Amino acid sequence: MKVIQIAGFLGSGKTTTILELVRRLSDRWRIAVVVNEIGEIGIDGVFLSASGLKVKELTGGCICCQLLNNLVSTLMALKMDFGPDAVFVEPTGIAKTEGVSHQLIASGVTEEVLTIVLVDASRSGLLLAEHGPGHLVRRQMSCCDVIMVSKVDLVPPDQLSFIIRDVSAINPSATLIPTSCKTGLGLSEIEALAMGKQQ
Amino acid sequence: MTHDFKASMERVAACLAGEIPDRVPFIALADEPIGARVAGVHIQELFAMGAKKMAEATLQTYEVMGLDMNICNLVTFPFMGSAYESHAIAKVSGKPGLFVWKDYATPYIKEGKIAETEKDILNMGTPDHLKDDMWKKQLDAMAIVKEKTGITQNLIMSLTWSQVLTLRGAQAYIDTIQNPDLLLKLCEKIYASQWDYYQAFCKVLGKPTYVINAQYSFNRECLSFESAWKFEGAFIARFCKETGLPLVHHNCGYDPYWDELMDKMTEVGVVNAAISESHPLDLDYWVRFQKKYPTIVITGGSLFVHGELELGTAEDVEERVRQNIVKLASKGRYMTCPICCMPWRIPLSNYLAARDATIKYGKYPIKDTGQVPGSRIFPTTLGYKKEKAKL
Repeated sequence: MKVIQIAGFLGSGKTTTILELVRRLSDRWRIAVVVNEIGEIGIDGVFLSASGLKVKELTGGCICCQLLNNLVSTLMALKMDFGPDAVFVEPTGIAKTEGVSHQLIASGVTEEVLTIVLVDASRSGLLLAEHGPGHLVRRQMSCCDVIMVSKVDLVPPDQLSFIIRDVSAINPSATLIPTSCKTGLGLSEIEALAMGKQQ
Repeated sequence: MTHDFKASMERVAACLAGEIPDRVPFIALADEPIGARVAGVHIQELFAMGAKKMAEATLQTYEVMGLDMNICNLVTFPFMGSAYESHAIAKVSGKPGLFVWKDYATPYIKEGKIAETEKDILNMGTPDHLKDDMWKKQLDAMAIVKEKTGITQNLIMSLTWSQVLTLRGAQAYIDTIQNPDLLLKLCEKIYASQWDYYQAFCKVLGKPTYVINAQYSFNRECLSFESAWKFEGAFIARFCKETGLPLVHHNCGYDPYWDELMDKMTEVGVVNAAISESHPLDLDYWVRFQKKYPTIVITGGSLFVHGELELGTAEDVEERVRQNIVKLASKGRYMTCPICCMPWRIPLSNYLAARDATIKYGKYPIKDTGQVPGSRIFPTTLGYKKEKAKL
């Protein structure tokens, strides 16, 4: 069971990305999604029954201890009840992604976690600033496998090159992919990464 | 009851006063998950059964776990305080129905819904903690525990960021730049509610001797120090100065601004009494911290709930506790404590191993007896970049 953690600040496009990846992969994979709140995922019953998707809600709790334990228990239950090939996890926007990855592997629930962090290109100035959410966003970006620079269709190309440069400097070892769920840019690459294919 | 509460209280009091106790105290944030395991009923049931049952479950947990102090006071009191506090605020602000009970786990409130709009913030009410059903039960239960055992109950506040995040959600991070005045209004509303809780606490239980604040924002992965001070630090400092209470800090983040915060609090006249079961997990960091701030009590160190407590054997736990005691306890002002709560997925036997190791290695004078045979030493970096000590 592969776990794909989709993290990023509020409004960065996590839910849209998950839904898009689910649509692309559900004919090949048995997929489950774990979210903060089912109401927010916006998946209707028709899609759910047609795609065979399983959605589980993650309970609350202290972000440094209880939330992680709740996530491990939820994934263990999914493994038993549903046997998914992959689980998309959308943790709370303030989750510590590095702790999530480490704990899921250490607890034995999975051997493989792919962490994708989304950064909204149209608000990069705000999201990467010294004050505001910058510390949170930078920390998430510094500890992930893939950085998706999302909503690039909203940003002029010359500005985008500066954004990519700044983002790349935060985590040079992460795979960086500019994406747009509106135009489809970059989504095939993300799909391939989710499936574990080399880029 | 066979637990020697008097001995436990004296041990903890001696440690806080900077004296050498008979041995290192073993304390914990024994909240809902452990309480449910010990009492055999989940938290919603405990509340339904009332203050007497809540107190009983708490005392049972003391007995079974051998705690010298339950930092949370009650097994029904989540350390953050957020869910019940936010729920109380929600009820007086016309937004009930957001509270979610969870069997055998901390209840929570749907994040970001109570202070979703500017109007929500401006119209936010202040609960009466003596009349709010859940808070009245908590206060009554604490009074029962105090009456039966003499244990001083801790004043635990959530000023402000844990409440901010529960009420406003991640939007609060944007507010620090785009709506700072509105965010400060929210912080003032939180302060008013917490002040009401403080007054209710004093009325029922008497004035406390220190305040414990569950801080969230003073982390490098959270906010800049300046923003953290503006929206959280200044409020807890104000509280400490208005009440004259020394401050015990708790922080759930992985990379706290400890030295900056200690210095800033001292600068504004707040007494830093202790740091309570917080990161980083690097023992050498805490050794240097103790040298720099010798009067500040440390509880915790590197006994993390996601390390050997969850994934290791009793010998691994024993070794971790031994290391912590050898490095941090020799001059007193140290208590063994898991970081941070006592959640599920941890075998009870490992919690008890931590208690037993504290008793075994914690008698004064502290001796270094060498690594526990058969034990492993777990990494404390959680797979992320090792924190750089600023000392």
